[in-house]
Amino acid sequence: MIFDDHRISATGVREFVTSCVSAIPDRSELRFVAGSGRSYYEQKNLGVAEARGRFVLFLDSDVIPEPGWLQGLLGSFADPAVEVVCGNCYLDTGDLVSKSLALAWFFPLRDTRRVLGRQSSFFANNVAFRRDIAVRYPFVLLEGTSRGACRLLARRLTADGRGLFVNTAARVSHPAPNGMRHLLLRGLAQGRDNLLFDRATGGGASVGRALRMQARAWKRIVRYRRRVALGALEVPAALAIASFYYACYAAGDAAARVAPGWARRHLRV
Amino acid sequence: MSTTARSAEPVVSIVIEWENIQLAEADRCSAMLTELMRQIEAYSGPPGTVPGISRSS
Repeated sequence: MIFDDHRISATGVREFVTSCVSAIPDRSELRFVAGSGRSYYEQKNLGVAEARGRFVLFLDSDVIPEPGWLQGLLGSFADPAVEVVCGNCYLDTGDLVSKSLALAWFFPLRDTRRVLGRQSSFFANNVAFRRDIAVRYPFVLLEGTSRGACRLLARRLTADGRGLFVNTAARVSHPAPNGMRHLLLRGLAQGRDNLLFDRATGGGASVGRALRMQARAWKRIVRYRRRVALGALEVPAALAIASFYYACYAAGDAAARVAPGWARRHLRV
Repeated sequence: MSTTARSAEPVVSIVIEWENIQLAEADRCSAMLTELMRQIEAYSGPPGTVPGISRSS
């Protein structure tokens, strides 16, 4: 367990975890490691430094693995070509907002297949590495961004011909943004991060990207609404929620263009 | 978290990023831990529980 002891009490984390875990499984150990102010990705790199297993798996405290998750990721390494394998991370659906974002946000829908195949991207909350690969390929965060180091790392792994795969049997559910303020902040930060990512990777940094992403989200809402049990009468509200998110995205993009220092300091997620 | 099969070397280290959870999210964290422990227990059980992973004795 890696936690930021500058923001969270070490005692609190231990007490919470031990209240949930009645017993540590045989031949296993649980360790708590203080991140001491490190960022999200820096904490993951710290986890690699602390890891002793042949395989290193990454999970976040807010994602819930489905049965078969561990088996899915570890079983993938039976194929020697697999050096990094991610699973399927989808948004948990319950209310209208979470159903809308499951269709409109960047996570894919829940994948019911059990397929191991090549992949070009992954999320850092549901991925496994052979340890030597994790050591050689740390997460490197682009200056001024909050998220996106996994995209950069995926590009690097792919460029180097490393075996990056997905196993859709390794599924985890992720919560929707926690309230309007969180949704607003995530939209703003994603707009900023994508702009900086595009600039750094020669992707063009197009002004119209927010509109294209919104159009794609609308199409997904109409086309796949039944997969998240979104009723026909809920579609207009879902389109409005997607529009709000991508308006925030556009604002984050604009802020990073006209006030990059402000965007870097204030849009932290 | 590290779990060992039958050899001295741990087979897998699971690095969990512990976020500053709010009360509303505590149930999710608890569910994550419960399910994770269940899967680790199955994994570190008798050989052959996890197909595709060779386990030295």
